[in-house]
Amino acid sequence: MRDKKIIKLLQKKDEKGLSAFSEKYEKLLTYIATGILGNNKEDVEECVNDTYLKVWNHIDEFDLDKASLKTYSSVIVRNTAINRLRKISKMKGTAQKEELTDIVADYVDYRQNVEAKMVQKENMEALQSVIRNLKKKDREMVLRRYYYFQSSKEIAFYMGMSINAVDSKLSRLRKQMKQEYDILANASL
Amino acid sequence: MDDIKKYKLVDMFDKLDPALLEDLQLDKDLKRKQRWIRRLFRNGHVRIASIIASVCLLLTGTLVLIIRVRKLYRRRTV
Repeated sequence: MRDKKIIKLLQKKDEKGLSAFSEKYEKLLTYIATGILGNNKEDVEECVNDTYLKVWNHIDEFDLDKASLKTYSSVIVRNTAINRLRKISKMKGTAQKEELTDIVADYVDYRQNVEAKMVQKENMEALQSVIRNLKKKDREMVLRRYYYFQSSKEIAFYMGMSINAVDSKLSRLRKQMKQEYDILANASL
Repeated sequence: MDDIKKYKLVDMFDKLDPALLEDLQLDKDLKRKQRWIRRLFRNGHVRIASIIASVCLLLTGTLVLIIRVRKLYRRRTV
């Protein structure tokens, strides 16, 4: 079923819309959640089910001219998985590091130890500008790593590169982004 | 210090504009994985190895079953 039809059904609160949505996107949402939560089937399933509920409740808030239903769902499942991971880590005391990529495991620890600061609108615009200006492949790599928390091995597989090439490229991109971001952020002050 | 800065960057990604994610089609990853699995089994060596492994597993299972049945039979006749 096409996204337009699914969206219309969801907006009418017709359950056929939710069935169609889950049939179409379950594998993708599970894939994203598994990348963040590891192979904890129960947590992944709960995360995906929470995503269905959020899509059902907030479908009218999506700006579908800006991004597709697929993208919004990916964002929701990613954020839900991160929040779930924080809860699990709080309950168990430490992040479950065995199956997680190093960055997501450390990120959860970081978020629990450091107070989250209000991100100024200008800083977000600076960051978004930096990302927008990246080449397509570079942007893909940065988003895979820092947004979806994919490991270097996964990125290398899906982008057809070696692991070393991914690591060195990411290291260069981090430096490049930091430089550009600092310039833009300071210019806005 | 560099780690804190790195994770602040990741923190800011939480509030990223979804429009920036539009080009990244992660569902292609799923198709790529399926293609990779199919390609793997299209390889003659992998297919032969899988068949041999399955036959060995079946023979082992049958052997274990026969041994257990014989033990049970001997216990009953003694």
